[in-house]
Amino acid sequence: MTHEQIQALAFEYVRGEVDEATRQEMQEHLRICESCRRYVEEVQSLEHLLMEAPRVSPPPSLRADILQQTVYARRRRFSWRWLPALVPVLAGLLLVFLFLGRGKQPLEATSVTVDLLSPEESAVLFPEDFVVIAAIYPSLPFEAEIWIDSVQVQDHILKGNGYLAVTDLPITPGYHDLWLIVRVPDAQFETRLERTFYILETEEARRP
Amino acid sequence: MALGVSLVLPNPRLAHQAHPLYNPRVMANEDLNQWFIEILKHNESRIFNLVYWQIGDYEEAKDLTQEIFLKVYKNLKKFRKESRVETWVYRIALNHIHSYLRKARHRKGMISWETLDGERTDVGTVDPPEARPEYLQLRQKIRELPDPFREVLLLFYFDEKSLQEISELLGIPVGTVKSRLNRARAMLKKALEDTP
Ligand SMILES: [Zn+2]
Repeated sequence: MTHEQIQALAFEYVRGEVDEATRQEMQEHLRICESCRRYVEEVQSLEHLLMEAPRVSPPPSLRADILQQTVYARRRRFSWRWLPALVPVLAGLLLVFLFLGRGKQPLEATSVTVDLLSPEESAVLFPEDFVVIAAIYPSLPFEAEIWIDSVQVQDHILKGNGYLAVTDLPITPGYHDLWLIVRVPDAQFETRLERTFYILETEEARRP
Repeated sequence: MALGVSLVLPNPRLAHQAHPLYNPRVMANEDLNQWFIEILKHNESRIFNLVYWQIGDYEEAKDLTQEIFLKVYKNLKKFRKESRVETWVYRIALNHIHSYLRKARHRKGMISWETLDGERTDVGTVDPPEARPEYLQLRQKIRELPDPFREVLLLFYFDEKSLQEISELLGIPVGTVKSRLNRARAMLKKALEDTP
């Protein structure tokens, strides 16, 4: 083998990618040839540098930034993230309406309305954004059951006058099915609402 | 036995795992969104790393990665299943980097790479491992390689792609990938020796 041939194969040699016969032939040459030996050593150290080069990770905010401009851009015309703050106001307004119209009509099952305000159907959420909010009016005493993936949620449920909220629920990434069952005994009313939503991965998905 | 025609619809949740029946053209927006999220999750870090080592600037790499995925999102409906979605994403990325570098070279008269590197060091609040002197130099020399050689070298060493995978990604024969890789290493070796 010539010096040129040896040097052309140097990278494959240090990576152990040459066949056995070639390897032996090269080894023999390297034993006697100073300049090729030096060449192979240099190749070895460059190969090492390349192999050891660190992978550079994007900032955690990148994914959120991208989602904000794509998936969220269409979805977020109505930002329900602020709803937790709005619910007491909504409930208050409902109470006022209720007070004004009190006694005018007898309660029928159909006059009870339950609005599941969040999550939206097929919502894609960061875990920290996951919150269940429902408004029930008129604001009569009600019972509610919340099921996520066929398991009943027992904690983190907040029941108020005409509303219901679930916050700070630890939730894993992936698809989830939510059922909300609301019963208003006074009106002999019962309804069941369903939602499917998707939770993004936790650590990488932090907002900036 | 009942005779009939049954229509088998793929589960949109498994859409990212190439399903033969699966056609993004008739997908609902929600499914398309979920598919995009899957694509983003699988490729974001690798594309960013690839962009970073080609561009050599963290902030720029962030912007470019963002632009790349906006392109992916915009064109997802038009994506045809002739290739794997990953291949398609990489093609978009490589093309985008190409045109970025072409424009950057036009500006090179005004702003030298050294200035950019200097700025980056000033701005840097963290001290990433790639800021070590040998990597700063490596990054600069890689960036100076001609496009076809730089691409192959980066895909091979910085994204752990096999020769076969690179051949599919770039649409060139394996033999060509191999010879480009060899050329790239030799050029890089020489470039690093020529600087003290
Ligand atoms: Zn020799």
